[in-house]
Amino acid sequence: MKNIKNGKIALIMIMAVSLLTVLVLITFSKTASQKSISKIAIIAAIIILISSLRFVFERYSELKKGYPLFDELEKEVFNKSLIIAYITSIWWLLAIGWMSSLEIIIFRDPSQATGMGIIGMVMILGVSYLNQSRKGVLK
Amino acid sequence: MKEKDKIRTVIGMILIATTVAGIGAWGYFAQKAGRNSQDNIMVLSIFLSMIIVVGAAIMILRQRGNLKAGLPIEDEMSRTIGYKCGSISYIASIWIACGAMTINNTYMEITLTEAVAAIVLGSGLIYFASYFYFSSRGG
Repeated sequence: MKNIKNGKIALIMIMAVSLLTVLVLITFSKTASQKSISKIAIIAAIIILISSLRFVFERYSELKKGYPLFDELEKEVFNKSLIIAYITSIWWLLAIGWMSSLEIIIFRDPSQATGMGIIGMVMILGVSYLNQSRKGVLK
Repeated sequence: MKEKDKIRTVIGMILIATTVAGIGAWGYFAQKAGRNSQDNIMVLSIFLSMIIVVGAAIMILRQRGNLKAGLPIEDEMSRTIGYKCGSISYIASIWIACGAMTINNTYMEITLTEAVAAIVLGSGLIYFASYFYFSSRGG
């Protein structure tokens, strides 16, 4: 019973954080100076909203059946997707730096570039997690 | 499997040698060009890069020692430690990016290259620090 209650609280928190992230991305897309950046923010917001809704509904139905919120395999898959996302993010950030130096992408200031970097990192994590969970194997 | 591990170790050693040569060449040419205003940042970057390279070299040497002793280069514990450190570094890199954004907006202006360097080097340092910490604790 306690497991279900804790799970519900965790799901509500996950949904709240996702909604806040979506709101931040929508606000960012409205204030971004370049159309391409605002489009990326909107796409990120849609991906986050769909994934979080799917995640929360799936988990809630499992929680009602008495399963734990996260099992051992899922924890391992998440950790593996985090390390893949970390290595990819390093290259992503370096690519942003190079593209900015070569003037392929022109940023208003470093903060905007860093913001785009963070959005990209989160998107990479999402894609990595979906890929790993689709595979469902550890090696 | 052993042949694959051997190739991995050799590639790792080549990468470390290339990185050391790259850092050396970078420092030499930067010194030759007389970039006085950037001297402190350059020295700090080289110092941090060297710490990361030393960390990577220790990891590779450990793997080589395992290989010589007829053991696999990584076991279940080292893999779990690697995942754990990767997830810590990923979260740290996001916070460093947020920090760089805040510093740029409030305290002083930084360039995009400096922000990217701070994220990459900072998260790399955290990865190796956490790796050696968890390794010494035994997972």
